[in-house]
Amino acid sequence: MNLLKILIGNKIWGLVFIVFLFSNKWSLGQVSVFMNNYTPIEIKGEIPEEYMKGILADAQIEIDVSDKALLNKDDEFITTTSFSIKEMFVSGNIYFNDTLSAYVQKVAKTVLLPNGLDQEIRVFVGRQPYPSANIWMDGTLIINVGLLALLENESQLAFVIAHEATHYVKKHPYEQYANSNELDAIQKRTLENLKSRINFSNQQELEADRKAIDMVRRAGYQPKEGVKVIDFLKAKRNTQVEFEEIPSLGLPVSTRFKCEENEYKYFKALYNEKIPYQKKTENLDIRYHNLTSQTMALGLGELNIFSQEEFDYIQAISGFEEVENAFRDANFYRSIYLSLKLLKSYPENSWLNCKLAENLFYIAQYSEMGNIDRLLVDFQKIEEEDYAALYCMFSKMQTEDIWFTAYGYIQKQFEKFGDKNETIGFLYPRLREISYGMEDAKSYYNTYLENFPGGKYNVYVKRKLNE
Amino acid sequence: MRRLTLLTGFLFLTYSIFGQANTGFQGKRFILKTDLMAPLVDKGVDISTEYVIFRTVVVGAGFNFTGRDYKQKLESYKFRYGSYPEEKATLKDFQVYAVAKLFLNNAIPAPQGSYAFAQIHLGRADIKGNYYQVDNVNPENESLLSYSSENIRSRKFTAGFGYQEVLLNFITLDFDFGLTLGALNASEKFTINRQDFNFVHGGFGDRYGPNVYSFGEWGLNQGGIGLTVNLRVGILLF
Amino acid sequence: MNKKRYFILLLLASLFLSSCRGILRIDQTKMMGRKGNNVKRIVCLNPDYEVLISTKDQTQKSYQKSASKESTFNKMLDRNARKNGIQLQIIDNEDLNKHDASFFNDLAPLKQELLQVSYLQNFDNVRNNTSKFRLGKVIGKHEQGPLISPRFSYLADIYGTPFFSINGIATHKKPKKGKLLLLLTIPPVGIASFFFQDVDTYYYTIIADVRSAEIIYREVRQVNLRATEANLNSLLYDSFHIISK
Repeated sequence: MNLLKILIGNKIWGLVFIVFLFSNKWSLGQVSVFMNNYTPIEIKGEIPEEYMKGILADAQIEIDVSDKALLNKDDEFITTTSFSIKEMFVSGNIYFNDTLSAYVQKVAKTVLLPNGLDQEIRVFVGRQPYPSANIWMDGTLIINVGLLALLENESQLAFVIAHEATHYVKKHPYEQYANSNELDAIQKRTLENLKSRINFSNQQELEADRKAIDMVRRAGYQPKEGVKVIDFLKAKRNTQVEFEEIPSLGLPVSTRFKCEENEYKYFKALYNEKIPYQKKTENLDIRYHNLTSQTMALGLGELNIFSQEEFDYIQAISGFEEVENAFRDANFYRSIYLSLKLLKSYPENSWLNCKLAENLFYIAQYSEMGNIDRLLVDFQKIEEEDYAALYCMFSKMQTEDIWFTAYGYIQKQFEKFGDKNETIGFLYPRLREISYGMEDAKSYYNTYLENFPGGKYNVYVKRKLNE
Repeated sequence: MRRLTLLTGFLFLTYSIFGQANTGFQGKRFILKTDLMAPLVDKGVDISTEYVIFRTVVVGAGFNFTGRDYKQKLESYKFRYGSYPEEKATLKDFQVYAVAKLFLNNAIPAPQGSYAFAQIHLGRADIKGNYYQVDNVNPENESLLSYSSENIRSRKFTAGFGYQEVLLNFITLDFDFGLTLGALNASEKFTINRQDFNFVHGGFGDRYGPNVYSFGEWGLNQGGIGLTVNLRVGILLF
Repeated sequence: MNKKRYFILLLLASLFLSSCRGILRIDQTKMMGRKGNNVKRIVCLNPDYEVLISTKDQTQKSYQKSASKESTFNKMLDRNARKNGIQLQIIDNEDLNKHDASFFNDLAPLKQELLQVSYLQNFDNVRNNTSKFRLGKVIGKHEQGPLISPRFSYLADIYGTPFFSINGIATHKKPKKGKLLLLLTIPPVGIASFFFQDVDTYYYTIIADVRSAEIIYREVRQVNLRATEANLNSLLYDSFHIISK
């Protein structure tokens, strides 16, 4: 939760930039290795020295800004940055020793080395299922899986890295922090002040875009791809998962819950009202036009310096990790939404189907408790129509309908993957226990123990059987 | 002394019954205290013990000796000489007392935090004072006579609020204030010039009881009503 | 006694009464403390110490003050747990070394799960039974606690105990209100109030039994006292005393 707050740019941690907010742009490529199964990333090996720096939070920040008026905030800024970074690293929401990190660091080195920044900037991949990246004044750059899953090639990733690196070089996090605090202290909530804050931030973004093009070119990548990244931001949100597809996943009486367009638009508006949304779409237009004109006359570079296949592989992993991380955040709606999108490319992926089943189970459980409203913990603005529609649909369903839906889907997955996937192997007996009692579930629990002798649920299951 | 022994015995008994079930301060429930206001205001000593018997209830017992001097507001003397006499009355008091405290903050167990309390003192007092003998026929015969009275029954009742803080994990600092009613028993006789009287002479009865400020007398000059403030320092023993 | 005297007494009394705010809310499962469920060993996941300072305009976390108190807080937790016969294994981020990568697979997600579940579920939502309310103290005993994911049950074997906890202190310093009124009514107290801040101290603990995949104990207490060592010791001892019973 704290990390989420950091990432959405809470005033206290005002140094964070959310650069890429959202897009429903989704390339539906397939990576054959994931057609049948996926194993989520587990952290292994020794913690790298670079990561340990984050844990120990000894942020080495040098501030040399020309505006002397800001200098009195140095200590406060360094302390706040240092501890915020520490909080983020120990939360377990940053990957290390994994495929994603290795790849992103490889591309980052390609971009940063020719620009002389490879020693100063440390790049990590964050678990957040949102398309955002942020950089800190000690040179820590976090790119979230949500963003990796959105991009199409190395050049786009290179643009993101270069854009963030410019924020670092130009000390934008510090300036933003100092200025936003100044405004708070003055407490003049006048229109002029608000305007100056938005404009200031937009100027920083434009500057970062401009410099990023040079950096990307110098590294040998295709600068025009940066325009596409901005395009994702301003793209209209398309419904990609049509509602009619949901019944095929086992929602038996879907027409009863189908929401009319105006209904889910109402939900969307209702929820979005509560979210402070700082970015302005019109600013994105300016960025888009500026970038287009700046890159128009530029020559072509490499779309991928390594390979498109490798990027597709990374993008696919990011997509699966997004599903897993949204689930870990108890953000079951988003996890289902992302699963449904991925299922288009990987319909037979056992892990994906079972994760969807698990999400349904938890939604049903929360509905039973009467806490279903609390599940919408998504701090990002709901921009996707289909995501809003999904939320709208579950809001209309009664608890027994959700249980019924979950039961049908879980049973179907259990029949297919019960002996292969540990989650579904455990979930089905649990569901039977809830529905028919322990006596009925016993044999299924025993089957789970036989199929997965070293399973994570073993202690729980054995206790159940001994009760 | 018998009362003190009985009270202490009672408290040890309650301690053994209820003590284990309650936390106190880190398991310590027995506090030995002295009141700093006693030597400062009352020229005496005040020693007490307290036990945490329930999570928010403390009971205690103690004794005090006081030897306070009172200005004697003899109106007839003032009428004659224009001011009250220089001589002061001395009241030596020995009392035992029992106190019960209800700690008001449930989130932090007794003996820390704010509390409401009720305290009752019972004892015996010796008084040495003056009495101005009026003679309206022969004013030259008027004189300031001394008198004494021993072993008269004294009582006090105080109710109020307090706050106790623990310092360094073993020292307690306890501040309380309350409304006190004092009573010197009128049925106890004392003698002046072989004459028996059954009220307190000397014009200070209205100040007996409260230790910092008396609002006035209640009853026939046998005790005062007013504000009592105590500042007790204690040690958490076990 | 005239009206002025009554007024002084009333004012003094209200001053004291206003200084004794405090809330203690405990929710626990009925199974807790029963045979086989005695909490004798707890793995404590990185205790938190937060110092929040409010000015008239904003509230900010003082990271420096927070960090400086953490190690002392850990020691206090350990000492008070031991005094109540509970063995506390504190997993502190500061002690992580390069061989502790598994922390990020096991304990960091568990802590996140406990915080999430505490936010998303109430004890009351599961199956409520008896709740007693008395002078700011509520103790609720429930059939079942908020449910966490059973995927953490294997940690019971690794750590030798099924009990995992989150413990934390938050102190909130606020500017004192009503200074001017005090200054006008009781000048000495009014002057003193300019030198003191209004402080609220919060202590919370959440204990989960990963074997049964539920939160078995949740305690939140708020006192308007400074977080002195003595005050914290008192809170912590009391908390562990209740847990150990």
